[in-house]
Amino acid sequence: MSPGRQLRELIAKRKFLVTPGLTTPLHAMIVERAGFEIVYTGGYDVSLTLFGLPDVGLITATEMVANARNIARAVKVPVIADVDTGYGNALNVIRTVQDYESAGVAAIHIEDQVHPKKCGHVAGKQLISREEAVGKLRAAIDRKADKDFVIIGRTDAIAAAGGGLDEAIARGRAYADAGCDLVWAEFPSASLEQPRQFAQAMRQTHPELPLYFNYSANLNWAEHPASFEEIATLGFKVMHVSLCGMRTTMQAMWDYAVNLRQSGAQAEIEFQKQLSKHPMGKFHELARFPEFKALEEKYLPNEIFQARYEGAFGL
Amino acid sequence: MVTMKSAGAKLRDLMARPKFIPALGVWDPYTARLAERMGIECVHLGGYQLGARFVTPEPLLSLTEVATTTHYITSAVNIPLVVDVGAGFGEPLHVMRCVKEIEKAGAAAIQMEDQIYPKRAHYHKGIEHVIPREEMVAKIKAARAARTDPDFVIIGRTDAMRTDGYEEGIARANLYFDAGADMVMVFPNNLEEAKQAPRDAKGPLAYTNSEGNRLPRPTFTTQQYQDMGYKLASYPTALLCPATQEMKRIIANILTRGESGIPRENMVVWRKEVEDLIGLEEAYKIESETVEH
Repeated sequence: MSPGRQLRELIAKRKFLVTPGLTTPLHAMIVERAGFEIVYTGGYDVSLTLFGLPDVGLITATEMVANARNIARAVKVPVIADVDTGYGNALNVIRTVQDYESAGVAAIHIEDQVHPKKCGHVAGKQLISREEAVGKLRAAIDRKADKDFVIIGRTDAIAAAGGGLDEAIARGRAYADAGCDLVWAEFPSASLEQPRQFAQAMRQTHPELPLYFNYSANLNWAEHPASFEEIATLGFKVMHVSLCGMRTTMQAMWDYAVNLRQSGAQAEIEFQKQLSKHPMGKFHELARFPEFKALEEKYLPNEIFQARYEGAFGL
Repeated sequence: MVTMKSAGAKLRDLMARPKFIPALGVWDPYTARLAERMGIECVHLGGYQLGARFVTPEPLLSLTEVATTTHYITSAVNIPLVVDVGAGFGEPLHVMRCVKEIEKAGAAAIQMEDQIYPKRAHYHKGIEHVIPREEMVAKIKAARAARTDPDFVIIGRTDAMRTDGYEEGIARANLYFDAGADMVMVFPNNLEEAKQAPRDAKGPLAYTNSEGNRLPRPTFTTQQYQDMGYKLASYPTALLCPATQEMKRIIANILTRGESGIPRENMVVWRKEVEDLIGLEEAYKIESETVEH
């Protein structure tokens, strides 16, 4: 079953799908082990985590697709990948779709910002025309090889210069008409007022169309605490919490670094104690060393295997 | 201690001579090595050839692909390499990452044009769109600010002669010199403009010797370029198109006659040449001194 097919079946079966946004194959393996059925990888995360750069369109399509491929290889669950603007015009989008399909991801989302882009939650976003955006999405849909590959059309119209909710609704409808499998609007606030209005308007014209929701780390959810079920009830079928892999590792790495500076070796001793009781403590197992040793035993000539391990210390 | 000359400094040495520089268009380390071995002093990695290498039109190339190819080429040759970075992959910010990557990959120069980004394939047919003057000036300034070696060469390129006429092209070339471009590439529309441009420009000009272009823009001999006052020209099609024809001939022979049709005695000599070019003898020598006793 193709990854796109896998995702489509999940969307059909589940009331809704949610997943934490991540950056690396290891994050994806952890999220899969924690029981999530899909994984999501975003552009902000990749820019900062892997390149130390802000999400302003500096990362190339080649770099992004290489990371998405590594993630897709590391897990069995379908991967949703952020391809920003598709890295240019309609022509670039066609190449992007082909590259991501062959990388083994299940879905990509393409947004209607001017290329090079800005992060969805910072000021200074500019939109391409509705017509150009539809052309890019049509190019993606026409030129995908697997009919089940999922195309998510994203509009940044609400917060962009010259935009607004009405423009976002008009674009959402146009992207759905172009053949997008899901439509996503970026909302500038955690209040569910705009998502509700957007979803209602979309349902009037496209009652069957699943919507995508970004439970963005940039919004203040404490002011508007809503459950995923509530958001799903509005019509949002697939959602991710953004920047999870990045923020959780930032916090953990910082705490560890400060501790090590202050307490020296004692910090590592304490950390080892904690980690040994933690589900992530057996990280050699997550890395599948035992599995690879079994493969060596099965496929290497016996004398080489024996010579390698007899009396050797280590894992 | 021997101080290594940076790639940029090597190109500046060539620029300081009165002689014209034919920057031969290559697309991989092999073609670059061959050019160097034959006596070419500067090579050019153009979008046209690199697009062909990846079997894609130039506008679809990513910075990673350009930088990786640059790195492979500069590892294989000692002569300076000029890298066509198209429109610099975006705005000043993106130009700055582009310069960093290309400089780090060992290039001597970037060549960056004032076309819109993302680029369109139609420019190969002479249909172009240029960005406003001030935007391009900002991109050239950004490129200068991003280089770490002050000798790294910034070549501005204006396509405005084709879109907006000779006067606009020359005005832009001079603005780009003011902004800090070390050289500017221009596209005169005819013989007269080609002769006039070096007289009207404030700094050294570069030309694209695109043999086979379907426009009225002429191409010249190296002596003619030098006499007119051009400093450098790129040769995007000179190797790629004839090499393609030769490959076609051999492929057709195998398909129709069942063999390549090259006499064996030629092949023995030619094969040795290829092996010498990639340094196979040195590899044999190292192995016999180490692992192959």
